[in-house]
Formats: sequence, structure tokens, C-alpha cells
Amino acid sequence: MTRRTGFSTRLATIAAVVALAAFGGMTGCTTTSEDADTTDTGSEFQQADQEEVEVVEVVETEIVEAVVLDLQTVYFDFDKANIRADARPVLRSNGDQLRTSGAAVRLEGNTDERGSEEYNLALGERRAMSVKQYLENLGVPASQMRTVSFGEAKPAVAGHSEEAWRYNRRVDFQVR
Amino acid sequence: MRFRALGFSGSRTAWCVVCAALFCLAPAAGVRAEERPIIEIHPGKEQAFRVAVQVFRDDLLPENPKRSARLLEAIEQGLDFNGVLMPLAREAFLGPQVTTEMSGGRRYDCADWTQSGADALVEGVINGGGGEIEVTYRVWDTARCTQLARERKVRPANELHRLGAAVADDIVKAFTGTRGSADTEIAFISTRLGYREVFVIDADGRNARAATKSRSIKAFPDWLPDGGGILYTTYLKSGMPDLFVTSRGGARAGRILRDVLPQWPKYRGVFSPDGEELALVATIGEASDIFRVSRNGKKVLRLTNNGSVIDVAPSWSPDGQQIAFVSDRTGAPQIYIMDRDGGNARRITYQTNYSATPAWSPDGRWIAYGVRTEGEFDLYLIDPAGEVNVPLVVHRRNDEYPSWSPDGRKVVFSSDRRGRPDLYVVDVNSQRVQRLTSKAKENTSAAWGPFPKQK
Repeated sequence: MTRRTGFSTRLATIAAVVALAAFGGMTGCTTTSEDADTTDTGSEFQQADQEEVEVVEVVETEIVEAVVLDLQTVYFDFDKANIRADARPVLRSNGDQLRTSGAAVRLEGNTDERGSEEYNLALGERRAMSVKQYLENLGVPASQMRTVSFGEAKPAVAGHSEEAWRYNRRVDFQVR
Repeated sequence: MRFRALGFSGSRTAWCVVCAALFCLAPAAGVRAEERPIIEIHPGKEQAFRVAVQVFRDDLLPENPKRSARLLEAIEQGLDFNGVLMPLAREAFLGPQVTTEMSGGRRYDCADWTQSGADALVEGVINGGGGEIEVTYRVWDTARCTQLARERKVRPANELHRLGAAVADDIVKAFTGTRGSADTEIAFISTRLGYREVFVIDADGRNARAATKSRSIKAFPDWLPDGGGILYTTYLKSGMPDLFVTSRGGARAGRILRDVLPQWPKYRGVFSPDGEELALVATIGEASDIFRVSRNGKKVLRLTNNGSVIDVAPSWSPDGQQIAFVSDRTGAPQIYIMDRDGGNARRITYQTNYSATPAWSPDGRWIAYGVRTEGEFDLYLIDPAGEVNVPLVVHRRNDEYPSWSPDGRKVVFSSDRRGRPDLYVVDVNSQRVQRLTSKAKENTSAAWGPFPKQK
């Protein structure tokens, strides 16, 4: 695994504090779903996509133990979703942490900018699925993992050459 | 491309347009065309009809000496955009420049106009009041000396340019039977505010404005078929993609299909032509599949189900009976067509190992799509039987994501030929390319809106 620091592949490193509540689950986490606010003015268009605001109220006394996770991003070859040899030790490490902590993660697939936007969304998802399958084989329960794709919409590195593309064909680990 | 050469069956110019259309669409089935420059090619004089548009007599008070000239300019720009009837140069006029009195039953000066080189004549009067502008106008076939249309239009006074575009579209309709598309709108994704937001621009490139401003990733704008709103994809705070509508009052704004596949990512929705259903791209298994969903979300039908195969990019046939889509079931993405119940899926593209973004034409005869050759996309047209495949836009840079104008004469697409992607419009017959956007930021994912409701 080549580690590059000083720019946004540091996104790869997600240090998250996971609250392991003594009585299971994140009971302080609620989701409010506000209905469409159509009073937005100043435009002919009314929009409402700021709903689904997650309000996290962590009650301190529930925190019994904190675990710091260091989940690394894995990278892929052009137009491919198979797990590369250099990704295997990374996934073994990530898988160990996920099994030990029981943390729920979102596997976020991404692609480089080449190809059609919609097919890239599906290709990014295929990468996330590929990672999920690999981790399942390592014993991480499927229920801990969700997959999603951003396609080419969320590049880690800006640029229009292989130097950027190689860091954008990736699956990020996002603790939920 | 319905072409009704009203009253011009013997006209040489009419035949030239038809010939141009056939030349463009008939030959070269399945053959990769030679690369050729196609930027800003204007159709030859022989390929377009000429229309003499008089300065409309302005009876509206208070007086505004510039009003009639601005309206004329807007009409001529709309005609130029449509490219079917090109404005006749004013110095060629042998008849009056300005409408003095609108002719009633019969014209006596048709010979003046045919000798001027005009195939059609437009005369009109501006009127109105109370903040509104009203135009009444007639379109004449000068060869037969008959009236093709008599129209009246009312718009707010500050929409003079749109009014002129609408008049131009009417003139095209009077002459060919199908409205022009200058007075329509195009939705697209732009990063000019820093995020991928939905924008709307007039088809002639004016008046770009944001339809969303919520600072999250947006994708795949798609018009409600009545033009009352725009469907798009964005990501919830939970990280999941979901479907929202931005409204102009025709529909309720907000999240839609909330109860459809609630646990799974929904990547894209595309309204059926009648607006009663959506083709939905979502993942509930190993890879993206296409679903058919009623607008209220109560009926959900899975149309594709092929394990780890990717099925995406649905585009409805105009009669709503079939759906074109992209699948990589053979190992690489290609265009397929299936029936509306998911049956009878058949592959239609074989040109290279990567085809994408099918867009079915309004007349049902063509599917525009992107072909990747040596890493760059070109746009092609293929018929639904997969027998005729012809180039539409071939350029050494990427030309992607086609969407048809409602009259089927034009296709909007995005191209990075000047660096970052901008929107361009290509005229299908003449292959003339016009650029719509010129911001330094990225402008992509265009969806051409429907005809406006006629007032």
C-alpha cells in the first residue's frame, strides 16, 4: 500500500470514535424527517432536499468504551472491480478492526472521470460490492456493511491524468 | 423528423432539405465515419427556406421606439436557432419593411416577396397593456400566396425575447407542421456555484439560473413531462442517493418515492412520456437494476435481474411501450431495448466495446447514444432495430450525454472540446453545432424540457 500524505487521499484514513453503549445500539441517535419546505423564495423553483437532517445527541454517560478505527481506502484498476493484490493486506486490517469493534460502515465506491456518469455509478457500486464480499469472506458480518456509490462525482484528487485517476478509483470506508 | 413541406411540393429548396436529411441518416450503417470538423457549420443557402419578417407595427402605449426592433431581433434569433427558415436579409426586401396594415383575405404583393427570395412572409402588430405585450401576426406562403397561420400571443412585457422565440417557433410550425424549439428550456448540472447543482437555461443559451442551491451532489435532471418541475438525484445526509423534485408550482417539491425500496440506493428516475410512471435505477442485489414504478410509488415492478450485471440508463420510447438501456451482460456496456414489462431484451449496438447514454427521439425513429472509441466519446444515431447506425457528432474530444429537443430536430450534449465540459446543441439534419454555455465551470447532464404550454 503506497501511503501518500499531504493531500486528500488522507480521506482514506478515517479515525472515528465509536461509542459502544453498554446497553447496545446508539440510542441517542435520532433522525428527524422534516417535510418539504416550499417557502424557498428568490427563485422560480421551489426545492426541498435539505430534509433528512440527522440530529445526533450523544449522551455522555452512555459511553463506556471508545475505539479508534483506522480504516484505509483501497484502490482499483481502470474499468475493473476485482480486489488488487496490494489491497488484500489493507482489507485484512480493515476487516480485523470491523470484526473487533462491530462498527457499522458504509463502503463508498468511486471511479475516475472517464466513462459515462451513470455507468460509472454502477461501476463504483460494483467495487463497493466487491469489497463487501471480500470482507464477508474474512468473517465480517454482512449486516455491518452497506454499500453506495458516488461514481465520478466525488474525486479524491482533482486532475485529468492517470496521476489523479489512480487515486479516484477507490472504495472509502465511512463509519456510520 | 416529420417534415410536411406545406405548399412547397414543387420547390427546389424543399427537396434540398429532404435530400440533406436522407444524406445524413441513410448511408454508412455501422461504419465508423472519418473524423471531420463540424464546428459552427452553417447550412448552405439552398438547404434552408427564407422568410421575410417585417418589423411589426407597434400600437402599444407608452411608446417605445426600440420595442419592435428588439422583438424582430428576437424572432430572427429564434429562426436562426431553429435553422428551418432562415431570415431573409432586409436589403433584399422588395416589399415593405414594416407592417402598415395587416392584410385580410388576400395579398397582392406575393410576387414582390418571391422575387425577393422569400419562401414565406411574416407580418404583425404589437399591442397589449397592463404590463402585458400582445402580438398578432400572420404567416404567408408567398409561392402560393396563401395564409399558413394567424396567431395571437400574450406575454409579460419583460419577456419580450421569449415572446420573439415563441413567434419564431410558430413560424416554423406554420411552415413544417412541427413547432420549433427556441422557446424551450434545458436543465443541466453545473458546478458554477461550487457544487453540482441543477440549473436551467433557455434553449438559445440565455438566462441560466439555479434550480437547486442545497450544496450537495446532484445528478440526472429529468423534466416532469408537463414541464412543471425537474426530477433529480441527490444524496441524503445518511449518504444514500435518493430522488427529489424541484417544482415550479406544477408539482409538489421535495423527496419522491420515499416508500419505494427505502433501504436501497436509488440512483436515477426517468419519467415515462405520460408522466404516470418512472423507470427507476436502484440496487437491491449485487448490481444496479431497472424498475418500473407508478408515480405514487404503489406499484413496483423489477424489469432486470441478472446477478452482478449492471443495468442502467433507461430511456423510454415515446409511446411508453419500450425502454432502451445500458447493460454490461456481455462484459462491456452496450445499448439494449426491452419491452415495458422487462421482456424481450435485445442488444442493438456493436460498434465498439463501450456504448452509453441512450436517448430515444420524440418521433421514435432514432436512439442517440455515446460510443467510446480510443478513450473518447462520439455521438451516434441508431434505429431501434439496430440496422442503421450513423454518426451525429464526431470530434476528437468527448461528446457525451445526448438529449433530444421536443421537436426532434436537435440534440443537446456536453463536450470538453474547449477544456472543461460545456453544453452544445447539434442540428440533426445540418449537423450545425452551437455552444450554449461558456462558464469556466463544468456544465453536463443536459435534459431538454418539453414544449411550453401555449398561451
